[in-house]
Amino acid sequence: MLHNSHQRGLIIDRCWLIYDLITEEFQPPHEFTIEFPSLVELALSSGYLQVFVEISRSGYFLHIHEEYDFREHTFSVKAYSYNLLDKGKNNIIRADCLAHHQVDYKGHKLTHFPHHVHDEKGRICSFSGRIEDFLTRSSAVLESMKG
Amino acid sequence: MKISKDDLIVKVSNLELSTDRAIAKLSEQLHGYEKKYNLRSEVFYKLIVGTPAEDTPDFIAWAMCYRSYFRTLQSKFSIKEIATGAA
Repeated sequence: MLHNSHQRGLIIDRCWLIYDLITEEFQPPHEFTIEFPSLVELALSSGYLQVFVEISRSGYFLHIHEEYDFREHTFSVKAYSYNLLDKGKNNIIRADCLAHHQVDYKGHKLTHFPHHVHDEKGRICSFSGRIEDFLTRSSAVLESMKG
Repeated sequence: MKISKDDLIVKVSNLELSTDRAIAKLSEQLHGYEKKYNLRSEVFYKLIVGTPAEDTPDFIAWAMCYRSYFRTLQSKFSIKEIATGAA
């Protein structure tokens, strides 16, 4: 992609936020820190960030995909898929912004349509669309599984 | 050990992934999906994307990868056109 230096800076800011959140919230292996710059470089070339990282010694993973877009110098996450996976790489919870759901599993309108999360039981729930909130929720899910 | 944002910027600057390598990486991923689902990416995109069937983790990622592949490919040709125009 023909990203100018301003756009490159915005993509790096976004990637840094994700790296910072993951390393603050979880305990990824050191390899994650070693590999992360190459993931950022691919994001700078393609506008697409993919992160697959083990986040606990019990064998849970995060698989994050984000597609970036620029409209008149405004940066946005055009599409995303956030996934918390178990040891068998099965989804525990996942979030995305596909506009196929209008209401949650109780029939209430999604608070931040089209953003939504598929919870541990596969039910549609409201979701802010913020990766921070997904990681917090993932952390809570992992905590509850310990108990 | 966690790296600082400045360290990340320095490391990324040193990598300088070429557009060709980015295209190759995305192409490799597309082939992975094509093999797994026995479906060409262009067919997948035409048939599945925009329908409720796309709401699976693999399909969401496949669609993003496909769009990103074409954007990166497009930018490669834009660079060549600019270079040709400038010559």
